[in-house]
Amino acid sequence: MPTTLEPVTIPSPVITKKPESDDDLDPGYLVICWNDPVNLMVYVTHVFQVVFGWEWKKAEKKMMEVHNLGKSLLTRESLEKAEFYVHQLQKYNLHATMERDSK
Amino acid sequence: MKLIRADHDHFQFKLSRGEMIRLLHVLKLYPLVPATHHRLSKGRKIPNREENQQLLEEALKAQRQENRKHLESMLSEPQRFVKCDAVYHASFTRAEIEWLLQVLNDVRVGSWIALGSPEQREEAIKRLNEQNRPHVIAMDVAGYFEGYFLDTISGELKPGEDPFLPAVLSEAVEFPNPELADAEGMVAVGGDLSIERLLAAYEKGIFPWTVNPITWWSPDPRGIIELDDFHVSESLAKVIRKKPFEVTIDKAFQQVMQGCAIPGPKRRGTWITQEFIEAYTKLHKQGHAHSVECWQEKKLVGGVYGVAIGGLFAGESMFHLVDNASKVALHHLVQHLQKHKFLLFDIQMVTPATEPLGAKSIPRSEYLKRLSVAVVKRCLF
Repeated sequence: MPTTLEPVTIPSPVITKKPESDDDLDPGYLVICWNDPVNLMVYVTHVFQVVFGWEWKKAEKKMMEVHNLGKSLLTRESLEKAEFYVHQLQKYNLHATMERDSK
Repeated sequence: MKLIRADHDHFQFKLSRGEMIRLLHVLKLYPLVPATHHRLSKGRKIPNREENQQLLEEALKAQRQENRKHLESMLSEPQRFVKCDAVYHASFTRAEIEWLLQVLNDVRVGSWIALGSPEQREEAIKRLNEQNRPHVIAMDVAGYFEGYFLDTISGELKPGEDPFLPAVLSEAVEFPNPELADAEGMVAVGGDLSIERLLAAYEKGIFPWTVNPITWWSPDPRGIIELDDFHVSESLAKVIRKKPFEVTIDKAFQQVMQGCAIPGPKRRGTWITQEFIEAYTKLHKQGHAHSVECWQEKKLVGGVYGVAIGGLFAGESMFHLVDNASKVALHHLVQHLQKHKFLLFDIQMVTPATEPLGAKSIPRSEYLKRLSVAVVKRCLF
């Protein structure tokens, strides 16, 4: 079996108001999932659970954001982690990209 | 397909032969999504964007190659799919189902891309032809199994329960309740176009629309023409009075079907494949399907055909090579049905061609009620 099958659980990103280190000064990278007319809603929810280790309720809320608003910001990460998540989501053929957080 | 056993990590399914064929068919299509389909970023502010994009594509490509190898080895395992009487038993672990979901969704998304990434599935259905039909079918079949596997691993589906999804027909001639159709009106997949099955379908308000595999539909709302409310416009009345055509009944059934099968700019015709022509010609020979023809100088210039069961006439399609030929054929058909006291004239869906003639949409529930009365009435066509 491919090694990437197992659900990957990571702690939710902690965004502190006051920067404490140089890393926090980096604007970071946003992992975004975009709506498309082909992926089944129940499948998108499932993939969010597998990739981020989220509870069903949170995964479904994010899926509904994608569905209703056209996109959802899934997480804010370092460059490397954002790339990892985008790769995971695209492996499942979700329409996901990473964008630089300009804030 | 039925889930017959489930513990935390192992699931056993029962599949009909038709389901096995369809599952293996879509799995063998993998991979379909081109590695270049996904973009790492929409913006331009990513460091080494092009290089990272290339790395992403390479990673996805390598992974698909690995998946393909794994899939081939899974499909060749003798114990994976075990034939048991007329059905197959298939066993998967939870991790394997997770992985199969990825594979099936690749086929679904890849088929969608091949269809030109339509905003709605109906767009592809509307212009269904020999080229795009396999993609529509692969998309639907992959989606069917995805839904089933997702319901299984989420625990929503308990062993022995049937999913709320279009059923895949087995060799037995029986149809699910048409009210269980999906949002687009698809009731079931598979089966055959035998006389027995076709009649059973029409009696339940279901009709086939595609072959390979055969899909069965019961749209909501349903298009009908009220037999006592057929609109004859002044211009059509004028044409009818002039008697420009010789009109006949059941003189050239197959020719009418062939006429309807030729695609036209304003006519959906391409769904009538050779399989449909052969199946309905058999129905006609047994007295269940009929045609009305319009002739000019001994040449067939228009016609309409459909299936008659009791007091139901299910209009299938019509065509014209000369202006008004299909309208005049339809007018004669309606008169014929009125004369023989038919109760229900089904036209499946209201189209721009039938709307001015009095076609209207009614809820499926109302159609099914009227159908149940019509089919038991004794009427001779």
